[in-house]
Amino acid sequence: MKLTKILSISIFLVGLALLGWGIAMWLGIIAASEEIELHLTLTSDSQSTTNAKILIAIGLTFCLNVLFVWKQVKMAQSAQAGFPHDDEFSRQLKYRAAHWAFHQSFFVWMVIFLFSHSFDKAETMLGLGMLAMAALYGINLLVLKGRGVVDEDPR
Amino acid sequence: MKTRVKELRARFSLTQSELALRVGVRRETIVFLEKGKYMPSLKLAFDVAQVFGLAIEEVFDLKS
Repeated sequence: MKLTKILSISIFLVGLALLGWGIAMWLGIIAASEEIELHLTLTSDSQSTTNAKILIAIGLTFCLNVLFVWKQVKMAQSAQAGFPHDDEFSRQLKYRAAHWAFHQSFFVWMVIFLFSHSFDKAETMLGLGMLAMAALYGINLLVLKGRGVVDEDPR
Repeated sequence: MKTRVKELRARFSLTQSELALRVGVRRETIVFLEKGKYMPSLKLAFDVAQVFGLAIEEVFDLKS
């Protein structure tokens, strides 16, 4: 594949990722795709492996951005109806989820560094760590939504 | 935390969305408030009580 083509696809995908879930998620996808060696590839040919990696990355990024666009449409609809984008409850959820994710991510990084010898590249480690942090934040949000915010202590 | 928001909202024939619009929050916040899964700020508690024309302690019960 020509360098210009790779560059234009990369710029397009990075733009999409920035628009959507953020560059952290994008880096995580790339790192994860490197790490799992993309078992979906049928041949060991390096060209087709690269193409499959790009396709998987495009697919994942597309899915994330569909979610993001859907969320934006819902937000626009609720704004049109007069509801605020954000209120004290949603802010509490976000702050607490981020607070938990921050502490949990220390352990994630510790585990990643303990198994650092298993990774070929530092970028893979970094990407997986960032992906794990983003995932932890999402999981914490879900847990908090189930549990509710009934105390004043942010822990 | 126990609240009478659901009961009062029904008495005043208000939907969750209408109450949310009146107090300036999202509908989700009213859902969690009614379930007792969210302890509101003093301002929100005051605003909700004001919609029903009651005192805060008549709408929210912190002891239970």
